[in-house]
Amino acid sequence: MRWAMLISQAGVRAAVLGLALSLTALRVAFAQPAAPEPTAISIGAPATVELGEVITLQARLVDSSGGPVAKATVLFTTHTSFLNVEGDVVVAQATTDKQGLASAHWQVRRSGTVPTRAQFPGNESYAASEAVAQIRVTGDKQLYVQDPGVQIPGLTTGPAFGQVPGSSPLWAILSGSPIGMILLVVWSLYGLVAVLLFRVAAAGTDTPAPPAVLGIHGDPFARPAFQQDASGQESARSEESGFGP
Amino acid sequence: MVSVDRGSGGAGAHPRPTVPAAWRGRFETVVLNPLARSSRLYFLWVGVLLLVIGWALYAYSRQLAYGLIVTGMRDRISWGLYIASFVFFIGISHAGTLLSAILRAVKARWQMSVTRMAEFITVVALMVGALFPFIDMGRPDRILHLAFYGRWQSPLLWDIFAIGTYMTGSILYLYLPLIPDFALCRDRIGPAAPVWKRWFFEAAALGWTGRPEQRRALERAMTVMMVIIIPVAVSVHTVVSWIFAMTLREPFNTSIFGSFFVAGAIFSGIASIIVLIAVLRKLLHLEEYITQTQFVCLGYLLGAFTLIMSYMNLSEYVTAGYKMSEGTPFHFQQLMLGPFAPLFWFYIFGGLLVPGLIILLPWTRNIRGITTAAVLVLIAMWIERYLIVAAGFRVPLMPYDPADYFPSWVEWSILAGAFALFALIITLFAKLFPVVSVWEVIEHRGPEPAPVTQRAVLARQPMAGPLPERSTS
Repeated sequence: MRWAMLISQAGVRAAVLGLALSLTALRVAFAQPAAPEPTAISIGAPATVELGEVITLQARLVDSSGGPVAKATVLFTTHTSFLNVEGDVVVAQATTDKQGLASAHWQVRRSGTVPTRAQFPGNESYAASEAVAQIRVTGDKQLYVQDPGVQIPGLTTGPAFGQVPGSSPLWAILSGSPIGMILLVVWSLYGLVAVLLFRVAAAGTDTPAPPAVLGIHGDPFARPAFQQDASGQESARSEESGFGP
Repeated sequence: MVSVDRGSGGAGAHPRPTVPAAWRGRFETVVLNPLARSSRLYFLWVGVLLLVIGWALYAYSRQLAYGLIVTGMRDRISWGLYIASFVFFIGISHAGTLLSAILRAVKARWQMSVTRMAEFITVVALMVGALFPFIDMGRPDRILHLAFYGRWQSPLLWDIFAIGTYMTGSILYLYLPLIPDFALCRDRIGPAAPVWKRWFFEAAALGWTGRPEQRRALERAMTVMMVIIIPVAVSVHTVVSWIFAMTLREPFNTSIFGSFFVAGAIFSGIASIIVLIAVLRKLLHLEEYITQTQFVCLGYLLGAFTLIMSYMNLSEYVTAGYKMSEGTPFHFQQLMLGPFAPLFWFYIFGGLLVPGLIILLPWTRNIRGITTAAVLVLIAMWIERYLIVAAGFRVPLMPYDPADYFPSWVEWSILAGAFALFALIITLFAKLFPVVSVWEVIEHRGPEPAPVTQRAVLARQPMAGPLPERSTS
């Protein structure tokens, strides 16, 4: 009897314990996660820059109590468009340090007013946040410099020259010289021919010519032999010629 | 009519063949006759050509007013009929200069009676061909940008220099042998001609009297031009090919383009000479002076270049097909099986195989057969230029659907106008200049000694005695 009572009490305790454990497990499984903590981000960028200048973008990420958020990835983006597509382009990214500071370098390649964002996309602990800065970019110089061929200091590398940035004046002349030399040779020969033509003309104005080499052999105004009339006689100079008196 | 002959002798110290006076008289009469008289047919012909040119000008005015949108060209296929025709005309301009220069250099006597017409083709084809890049510009006022912003590194700039240099040389090379003939015209036609014509012959003859010092100067000038014009002519079409081959676009990205274009130019040039001499021979009754000899010899040249072109095509397609770089499968498919297949196979069979057979077979190797072969070659070579441009640009550079191109009425009208302009200038040349080089034929060739048979040409038999006064053709 006593043993039966002990066993039944243990069984009830086990059942209650198991029920409690199940309920606890169920509670854990269906429990809502804790809401990420709100954050705030601020962006630091120069207000006015020159086109092509490399600038430093900074961002500071803090939590709701103002404490720094470390080891968080911050994206720096600008809004751009290409053909018919528009969107934000990531121009740099950095990770915050212990002070919640992230910095990255970026070469500005578009002139005008460029809206630049610092975005924290958020994680399990912290909510996303972003900040915008307007950067005014001035200047219109050509940024892309063609760099073909061999790099010869002083020839193919050097200060900008006219329409060909990066090339020296000497290179501009040398690069055209093969074509220039060929043209010079050919046109010099044409000049020689012109001189010979002058000689032909000059010789013709000298003392009277020697006896005719070709005598008079044909009358261009006569009908050619194949156009002889039925009597076999060549016709007189044609009225159709349009020439003559 | 009696005119004083101040000695319209020719240049050259070569031993002259015996030239019967009657033959010579008949020859000069026939050749100079077109310069002295004009028929109603001539005026009708000029009128028709002017109508076609007028329509082409109207079409061009539409293009100037509305821009290149009136053509079939768009962003993806930005070159079409105009550039294809540019390449075609520059190609046939190789006819005269290269042929007459090379054949003069080797003293091939048979070409004397056709060299003038060949040189006509060169100058006129260059004039017409050089118009097409301007026509192709939507903003022709920007042509000066070539001078202000041109870069030595640009094949387009090389093209400008090459074609300009070649045109100057061709005009000189046409003019030099004309001087004694202008003197002949001055003496025979000038006294009874209108004032402007008389002045023109006087000025153009440069006081030619056949004096020894004049002959020496002229010979020297012709020798200089004969030598320099050959490399210039080769360079021109090589440079024209480089506006395609210097790009990375398939199928242009190949090193064979230079020699391919030069060979194709000579090929189409020979064909154009054959067609022109066939037409002028008939119209101007030159059967006695342009005989089957000229056609057979030009036909052999045409046949040789048929083989050369076939080899070049084979080389190009086999190497490209073996590698099958990006773009090549698409190009092969569109060319051989797709939208360009009819044109492509006409070019292969109608432009290479059939003309080759016509020239190879003895019973078709005559004036009519060779002229037919030449016409087929000309059509096929224009098609080939069109395939290079239109099919080449149709190969997509990025993975988008290929664009389609078909020339609009504006482009066809301008092309017709260009051909009409070509024919018109040739017609006017034939009215101002003797179409056969009189002094060269008299001094270096004389009359055809015998009717030339194909066997005689093949066996290289020496010419027999003088012809009877009328030869059959």
